[in-house]
Amino acid sequence: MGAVGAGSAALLVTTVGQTLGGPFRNIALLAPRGRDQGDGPNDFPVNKTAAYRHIKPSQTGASWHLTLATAAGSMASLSRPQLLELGLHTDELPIACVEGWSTVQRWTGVRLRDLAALAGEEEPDSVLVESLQQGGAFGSVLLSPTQLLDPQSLLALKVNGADLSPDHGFPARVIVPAAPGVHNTKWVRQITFTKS
Amino acid sequence: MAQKLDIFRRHYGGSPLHLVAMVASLALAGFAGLTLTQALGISKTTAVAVWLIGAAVAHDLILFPIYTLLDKAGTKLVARPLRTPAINFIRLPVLLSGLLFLVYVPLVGGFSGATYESTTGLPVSVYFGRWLLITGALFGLSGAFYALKLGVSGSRGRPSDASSTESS
Repeated sequence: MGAVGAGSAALLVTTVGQTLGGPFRNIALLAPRGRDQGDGPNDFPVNKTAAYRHIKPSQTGASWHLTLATAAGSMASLSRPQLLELGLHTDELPIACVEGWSTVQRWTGVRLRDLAALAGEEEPDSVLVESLQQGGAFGSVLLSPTQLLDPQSLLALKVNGADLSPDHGFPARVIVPAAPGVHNTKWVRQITFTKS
Repeated sequence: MAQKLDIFRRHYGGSPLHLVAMVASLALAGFAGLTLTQALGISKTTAVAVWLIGAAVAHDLILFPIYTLLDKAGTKLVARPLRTPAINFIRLPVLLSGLLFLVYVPLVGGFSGATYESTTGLPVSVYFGRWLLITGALFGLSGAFYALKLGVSGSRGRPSDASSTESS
């Protein structure tokens, strides 16, 4: 029984750092999400890299624009500098992956509900977020009105005071509270607000 | 009281504390199972059950004979020349190191290397070295505890050993 206890303890010690984060992440020596991602504000686990999702630098450069669309057919297009001039908010929110790891970071960006207002659809029934990414089941994600209206829900442009790194979704990513990590879409290309 | 304990031991085969720990473990496992069932639904729970039973069968048919043979060989090699039995100080680090290897074999063995490296952008090669280091640390720690035990039983055991050799 002592040996079983020791085995459980060994697995706990080598795994729990994936979720606790901070200095504890370094104890998760054998876990896939226990690694340093380099130094600086973007040092937290990357689920899928930009290269893996075939994001080309030409797509995310100065030519990148966020398209805001409504079911009624209206369209708006915003560059990254234009987004940065909107009212920015900062909040601490986790990425909690269904793989079994998580990490809390400080995100800065535009509230999703402000973008809805900008698009002219303040009370949509659903929100479709589409990514530049290729492949994967979560290239587009449907968010609920409650997720949209939450003041913590952001289209994040920065993390921990610095621009998002390409692997963390530059130029812009969604971060919403209490959602699985994969619903926080990276490399956002278009947001469509629909009302039935 | 001591008599009652003896009766309990004779019928149960262990101390009451063992029974309490067993019941607590089973209750915790039951709770985990129930939570899993509710989260996954019936069809996926069946898949989990198949894996669990399959793992138990694979363990009993493949792993159990292997480590029983290894243990017998190890006991023969280790136990005879030494007065303080060393076998448990080898068994435990082998068990822990083996368990970590089994759980993390896709990374430690590099089998999922290509997928891991392309999705995370990090090299997979570090894991084998880390596992070796952990294994080394476990054996080092176990060795230190064994040395400590040797020292204690050595200082305590010498006079009684002397008397036992005299009597034989």
